[in-house]
Amino acid sequence: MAINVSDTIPTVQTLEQFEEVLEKYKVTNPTKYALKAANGDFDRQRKLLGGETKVTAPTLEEIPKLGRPRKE
Amino acid sequence: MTLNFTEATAYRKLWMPQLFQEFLFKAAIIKPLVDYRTDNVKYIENPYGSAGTVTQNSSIVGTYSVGTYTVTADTLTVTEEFVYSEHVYSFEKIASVADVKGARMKDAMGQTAYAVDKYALNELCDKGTGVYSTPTGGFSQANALTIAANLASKLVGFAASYASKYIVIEPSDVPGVLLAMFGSGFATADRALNNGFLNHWADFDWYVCGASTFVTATLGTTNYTNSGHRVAGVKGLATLLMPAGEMIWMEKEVTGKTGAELALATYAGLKVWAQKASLTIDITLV
Repeated sequence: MAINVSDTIPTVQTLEQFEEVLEKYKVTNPTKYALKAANGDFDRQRKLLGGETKVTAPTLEEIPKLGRPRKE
Repeated sequence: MTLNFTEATAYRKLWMPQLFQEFLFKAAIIKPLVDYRTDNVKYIENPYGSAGTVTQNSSIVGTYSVGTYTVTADTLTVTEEFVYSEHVYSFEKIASVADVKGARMKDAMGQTAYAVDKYALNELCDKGTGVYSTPTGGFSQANALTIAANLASKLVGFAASYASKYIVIEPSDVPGVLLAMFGSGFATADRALNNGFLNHWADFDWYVCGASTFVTATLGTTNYTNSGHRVAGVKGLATLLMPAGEMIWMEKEVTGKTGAELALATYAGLKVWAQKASLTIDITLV
């Protein structure tokens, strides 16, 4: 099977890889780097990579009902 | 009872149509979102002047002082090269049940199209200067309309009306958005219940790109920190340039090998132009 070109470059998997990309990103886009750093975006990504937070799909019970009132 | 036939070649076989199974390609969605060009150039120049200053005098004095202005360069440069190459040997070609070359060509184009898409979406997200953080939970059912309303607020109040708006989400965001489509409104909810995902909803065109398209990684020449990000904005304000009419297909007879070397190359550069960069919004999922 051919190499799936797109998936040869997945998102970083470890904190070390993340810090490596971040160091380069700081140079290539300093404006956005400062903005994301101020917003805590990098800390969020660090926590995800470190396994401190897990991304889960919302369950129906957690979701408040919206719109469409019940018919009388 | 034992069957008389044990020899496999005595049985009939049916082959699926004359190509290998098609790869499950990820969606390539970038073209309708940008000003897509195929000019055979490396650079596109689009300079802009500085914002002028209007003075409102405290009384009518009949005089004024002359200001100065500067012009700033804004350049799209084709920086990215995408290449796909394989060798099909002569015997493989003549003895295969499938059209090997055709199958590999189709695979190459699908893979390359997605690679360009992945680069372009990450670039769009990174260089857009509009920013927005979702409420906690990202594109959940409870948040979907709030997100659309907040994003809409960032695209209005300008002299021109920017009506053609888009949001790009990943498949993992679809459940929340779809549940919101099912549950909000009357005719709209019914339309969603009958037909599924609505491509146009809350005045945005909704696009679903491939899973894990937004990455924190180095793609080609650029570093991105887009994991957990999505992008929204107004269509046609960024330019994607792919010279040579998208993709160049090459077949080469090479020394020392039978058959042919197949190669596909394409080039791309994307620019979010400075004056309207704030209308491309980098969404952070919280």
